[in-house]
Amino acid sequence: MKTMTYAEAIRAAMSEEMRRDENVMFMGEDVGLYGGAFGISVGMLDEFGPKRVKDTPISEAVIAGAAAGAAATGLRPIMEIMFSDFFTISMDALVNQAAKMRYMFGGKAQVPMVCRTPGGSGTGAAAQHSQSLEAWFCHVPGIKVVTPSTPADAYGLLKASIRDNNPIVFIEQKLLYRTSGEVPVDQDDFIIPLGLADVKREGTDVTIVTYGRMVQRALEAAEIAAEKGISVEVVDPRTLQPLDKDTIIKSVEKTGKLIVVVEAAQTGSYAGEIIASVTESDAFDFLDAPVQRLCGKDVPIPYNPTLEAAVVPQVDEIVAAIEKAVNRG
Amino acid sequence: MSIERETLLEMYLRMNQARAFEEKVKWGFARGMIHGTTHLSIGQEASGVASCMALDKGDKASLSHRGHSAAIGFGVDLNKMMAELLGRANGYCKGKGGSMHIADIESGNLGANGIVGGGFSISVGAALTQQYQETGNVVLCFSGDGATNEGSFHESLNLASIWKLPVIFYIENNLYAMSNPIEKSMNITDIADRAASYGMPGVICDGNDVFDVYQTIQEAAKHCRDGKGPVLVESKTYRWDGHSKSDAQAYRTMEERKEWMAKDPILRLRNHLIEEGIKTAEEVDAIDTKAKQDIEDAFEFAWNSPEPDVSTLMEDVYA
Amino acid sequence: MAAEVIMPKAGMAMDEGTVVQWYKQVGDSIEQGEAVLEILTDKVNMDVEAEASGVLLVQLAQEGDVLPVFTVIGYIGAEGEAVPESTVTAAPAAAAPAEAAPATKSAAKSAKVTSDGKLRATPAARKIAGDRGVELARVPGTGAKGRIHAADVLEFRPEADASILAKRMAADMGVDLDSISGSGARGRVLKADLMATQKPAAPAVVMAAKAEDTLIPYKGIRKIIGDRMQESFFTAPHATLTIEIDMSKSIEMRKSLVDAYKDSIGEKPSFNDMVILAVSKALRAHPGINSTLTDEGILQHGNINIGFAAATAEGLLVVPVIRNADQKDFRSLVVEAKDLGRRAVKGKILPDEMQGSTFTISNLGMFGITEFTAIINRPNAAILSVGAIIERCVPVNGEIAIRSMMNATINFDHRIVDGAPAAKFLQTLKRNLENPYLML
Repeated sequence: MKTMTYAEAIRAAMSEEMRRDENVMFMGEDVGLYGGAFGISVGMLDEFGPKRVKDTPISEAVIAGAAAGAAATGLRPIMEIMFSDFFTISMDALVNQAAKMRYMFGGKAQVPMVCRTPGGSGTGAAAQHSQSLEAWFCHVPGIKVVTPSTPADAYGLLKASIRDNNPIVFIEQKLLYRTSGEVPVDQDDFIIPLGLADVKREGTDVTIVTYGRMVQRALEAAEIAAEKGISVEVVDPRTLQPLDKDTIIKSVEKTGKLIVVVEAAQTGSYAGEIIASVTESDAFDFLDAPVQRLCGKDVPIPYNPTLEAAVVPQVDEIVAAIEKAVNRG
Repeated sequence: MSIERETLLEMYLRMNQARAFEEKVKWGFARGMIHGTTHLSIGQEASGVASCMALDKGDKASLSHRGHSAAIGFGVDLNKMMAELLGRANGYCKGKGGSMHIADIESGNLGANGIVGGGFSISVGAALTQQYQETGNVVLCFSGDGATNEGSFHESLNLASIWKLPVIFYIENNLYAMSNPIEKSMNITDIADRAASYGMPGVICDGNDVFDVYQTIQEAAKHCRDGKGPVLVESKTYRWDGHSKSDAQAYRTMEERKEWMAKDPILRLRNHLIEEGIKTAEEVDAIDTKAKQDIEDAFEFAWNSPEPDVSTLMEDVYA
Repeated sequence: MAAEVIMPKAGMAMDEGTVVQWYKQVGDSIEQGEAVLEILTDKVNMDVEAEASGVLLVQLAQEGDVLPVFTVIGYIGAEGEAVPESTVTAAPAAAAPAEAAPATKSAAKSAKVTSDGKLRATPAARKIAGDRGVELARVPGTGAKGRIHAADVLEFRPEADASILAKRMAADMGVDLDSISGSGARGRVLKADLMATQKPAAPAVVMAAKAEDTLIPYKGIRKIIGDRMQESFFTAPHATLTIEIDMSKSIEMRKSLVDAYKDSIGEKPSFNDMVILAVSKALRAHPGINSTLTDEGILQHGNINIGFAAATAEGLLVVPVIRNADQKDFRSLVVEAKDLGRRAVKGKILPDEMQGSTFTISNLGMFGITEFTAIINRPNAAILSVGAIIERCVPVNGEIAIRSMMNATINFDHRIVDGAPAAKFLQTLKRNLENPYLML
């Protein structure tokens, strides 16, 4: 175990996989000497050289397309899109090409590429640099979507993603980059399989399903609820596609109450998909309160810090939702 | 530049197969035996077949939505290709791709593409693999004239150029982007001129002349293999049929079509073979007949092939 | 909007019902919960209560009409209000409760029912209620807008079901609703039941003084009972056998069980319970007695379902059934018999609980009757009439001893049961009750 930040864990995972497999390479805007807009790849150019750590022009369409083409012909590229908002420019390559190649070519292609990209608000970057667009990617069959919430998860899941043979959108959280945690870098070949949820806190009264930055808030809310005698279980699916429905359903069957907390704008967010998975399952018979979703408001992310903070679910809002659930509100 | 006799004869056979294939597809469509849509390249056989045949073993090709000639030029199993158009289980894509997605990654055919301009960046990536793994191979990236107005064309040419990737951007300029003539969609006459902005050679060839196409691609491939980076090749040609199966062709005249049909690439090669004494007229006729019979056989094979089982529906979404 | 009066479904097997009489005529004002008409199901007479207050706008069925369940048979609404046009179709109750009436204020407080008549309850509450047979509509909801949660169902203790009006009256009058047997659907206590308890004794005296004759209509349950008795008596040739049983050991065993049972199940075993137990075991040994004559032949029942005759407070005969009595341990049998017995008195036995007996016991011992012959409860093959246990001088080993004796009489359908097998059944029954510990 080593204490490291979320950012360092990502760098460690990429570096280890590049040392392990010659075909793993990394490209993106300013990822070389600059070390990436968030400094994730600082030092990697020195270790791996310009052949394997490649700076690209500001060309998100070809970054994603080149990754897909390289992946389909034998490399295992990791690409970085500086802000997940810029994925709009990459969408054709990801959605129409990478995600579909295997299926539309009758199973004869595989596209092992990882699209790393930071998402989420909270940095004052306003409407075009703060979105949480994970639901878009989940909607496209053929893509896997990973949303780690801790340094250890980021480390284990990124290593698994790089070894996976499918296009993966790996959504990092800007505000988590500087958070620290124990990371099992010294454990031989530690990986976290995709599609495996993690119960971040066990409880019996209410289930909160959340991922990314909201996990930390849900845990804080659970702590406050505990002081009020309410036992909250926090389930972090960690990968949204594939989604570990079993763990979520099992938890809801135990508690009978479900709150889903996501940072993304509510309408069409992945919260709806998680809730649908529960209500259509056997857990339906155990639901004993209206299911609640706490999501980002349906608004572009504003610049002013007070306004910006008001968009996403707050700890006290999560606590209120917990109380509402147990008090039969 | 001359083309070796055997290659030339094979080229003639494939061009005839390509035409017979598409005529058969037209026939099948009219009778409801083939569904969906398809984009025919009749009239562009020299451009599609000769370019692919100019490649070396191990080279890759990424095809456009109008990719039948190129696929046959690259070398395909006609049975599997026809079976795919009929949506059968033993087609190239197990009946899941159809006309616009004929692909055979293993043999280097990176697939036709239903997205206009979708193949540029994929080709750049494939070229990156060749450079990275030092294979010495090149990627031939097909597109039409219309695709060069897509943003990804410019991003792809730029990146390929600065990274000196072994990719030939092969633009088949058949004068129309669906119904839109190029003079209405760009303010230049030659698409090859666009290469200059990215610092790569831009060359033009007569897309209806197998010799010009073959030679141009071979030179471009050498440029790539020498590590000098990408080349843009503009192949001037013409499609005889409409854009797709639902095109009334109101945007062009019969005179224009007839003018281009007189430049039939297959007829030109046929005359060459006879005039140069490579084959007698009877021998050439025999090749024509064989090509047609190959396609009849392929259709027969495809027609009698099984439909995919519905149980395969969810297969191959993920690796 | 006018509220529907429908022919309700009052039992799983009920498909249609008969309109017996209208209590309310067109134009009469009605309070929510008041009985509007009397109907006859396949088994019982019952009242249909008003779901809203107002005026009876129309009667869509005549007395004597037989109608499918859910058929709209009337409307209640504001005076002069138009009756909905599609009065003939039996659409499921879409009518909203009359919101105009100020009386609905109290209902709104526990508005777990939505405006279209649906219950507000969580999936978990519904599941648990379904599993336990709890009628959700009776469970108070503690959630928002009266929503019923799982805990509400788990904590729910059914109390006497009564109409809103009856509840209010009971509160005013200081009457315990549990003490009143209801005459409404499923024993629901109605206003009339409360009124009946309040009738002073004096008028009865007056009536006696006037010595007038009273004509009671021969209809409803009375008529059903009568028809069945007649049918049984004149169809099945009844033969009778009686045996004397020494109940001393049974008395001893009962005494020894009383305290333990009170502690564990909250009920004391009765002699009737012991007779039920002894009969069910004896029937297993004599399946010929546990049978029915059908068109196809003599049907020997695999299950032993014991009906026991009981009387409602009004004196009407009801026969609740204990299913698979021979399979049950004695404690469960006691609990079930007590529950059915109590509800029988209140008239709260559900129609389905009176179905499917294979043998019936009638016990009039509590009235001091020592011996009697009952009429076979068709389609059973036999009925056992049980008399009182009384101390008698009996010779034991040549000496006179005082023993607690009980007579048990079997009346059997001689078409399918002969004397000898019936006698052997009685012998087994006697052995069971004289050696009761062997039954446990």
